[in-house]
Amino acid sequence: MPIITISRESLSGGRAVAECLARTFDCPLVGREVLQEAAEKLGLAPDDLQGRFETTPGLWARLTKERERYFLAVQSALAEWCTRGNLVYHGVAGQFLLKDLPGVLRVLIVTPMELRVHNLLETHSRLTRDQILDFIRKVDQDRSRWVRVMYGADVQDPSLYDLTVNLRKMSMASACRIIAEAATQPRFEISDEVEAELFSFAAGCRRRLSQLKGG
Amino acid sequence: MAIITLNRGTRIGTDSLAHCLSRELGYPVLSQEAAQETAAQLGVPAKDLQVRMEERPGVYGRASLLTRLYKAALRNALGEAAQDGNLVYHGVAGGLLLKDAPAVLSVRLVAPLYSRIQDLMAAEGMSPSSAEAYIREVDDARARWVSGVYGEDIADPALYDLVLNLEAFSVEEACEVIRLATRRPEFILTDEGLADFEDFKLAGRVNLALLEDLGTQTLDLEAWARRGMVVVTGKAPIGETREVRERIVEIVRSANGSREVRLDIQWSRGGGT
Repeated sequence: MPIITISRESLSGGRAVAECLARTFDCPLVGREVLQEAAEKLGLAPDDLQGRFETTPGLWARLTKERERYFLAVQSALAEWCTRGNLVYHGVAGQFLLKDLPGVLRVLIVTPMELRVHNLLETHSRLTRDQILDFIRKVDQDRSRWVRVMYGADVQDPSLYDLTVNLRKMSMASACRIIAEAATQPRFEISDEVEAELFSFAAGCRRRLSQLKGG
Repeated sequence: MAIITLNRGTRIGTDSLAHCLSRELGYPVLSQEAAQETAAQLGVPAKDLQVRMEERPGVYGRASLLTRLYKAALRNALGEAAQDGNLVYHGVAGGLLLKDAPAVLSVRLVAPLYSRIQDLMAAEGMSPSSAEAYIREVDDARARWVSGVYGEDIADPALYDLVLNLEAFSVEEACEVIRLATRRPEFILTDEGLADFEDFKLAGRVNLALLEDLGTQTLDLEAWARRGMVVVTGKAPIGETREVRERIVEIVRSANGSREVRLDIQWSRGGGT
């Protein structure tokens, strides 16, 4: 009975792993839905909030209160999902949004650059290999910079996650099976006690968001 | 059947995990200290090499004879310790030493700095600042060692198949997750994989012998093997063509498991390292 967050690089094949896990546990798979719900909480257009979360922070990085409000809105939306039972979250910053919560398995998927280039070449055959490499590096740099500004952390630091799985040798099916095995270890079980903590966490997020909105 | 390599940060114990895997899977265990003993017997004690590399990294880098001999000795020790391709190795760079071997599951164990500090304070009665300074110093020394000997960043998750955070998993849970991973097709040695592993071991024996031999150790040679046939590639000086050729052939023939030898060597005036 797990809640699993999947963090991944773009074009990593991590989405397929997340889909496999959702099928394995017969549970919802959410990503952008969480951002949309957070945007509703703030009365913003979903694309606007998504832009804030996924693009390189500039001046906005220094607007601490604004940043906190967006973060809390997303955290609150995700916390609501967690109270409904099993969940696979493959959106942004799952390792930070649900940090230190019991019953949550935080996973990082690592994929060699060659495989990522191959994944994009399959769907965008008009692009050259160099163009694809430039594109992937740019996205990686943006994401890495964003996480550094938002959380002061290195997005690739394995100590931020419970489990890191590398797809260099492993198939998607093997990665899915190993993560599922990790998620079924007793400490990730959603016991009554853990469920109560998840509800309390969601209530705390709602309360803090409402205080910030009123402030 | 697989080889499991366990790599860890400072104050993260791997002994109990290695022995749990050995018990569950029936694999032999080899520690880094035991593997390094074989290098020490060849005149390359790890501590000595580490001191030299710290003092003169330019001289004792990856390409130096001592460093190459050290790596070859360790790689050979790991290959020979594996029974039918099965082994649990706990040491700093097992995955890097075995990167060309089939069915190797490379695992790194991490834990947050604060929990490692608490562990060290409890075990040694150190102050928080001394414990943190010690852990950072040892972590940094290990990182410099791996960078110097292997040219890699020890903390890069891309080097490992799995990284487990021991704050999230107990030893028994980590043992169970890794045990299951060895049952996945990528980490099972088929008959063909086992034959590839024998070739890996044979190439390791030849490479070590080439580095030990005074007549060939300064040459830039590399051996690989395919079903008992050994191919030695590289560069050597043209002036000693016959002597070097005969010496290499003799070394390969005396390596256990070799059936045939082929040389693919560029003979030139400046051959060798």
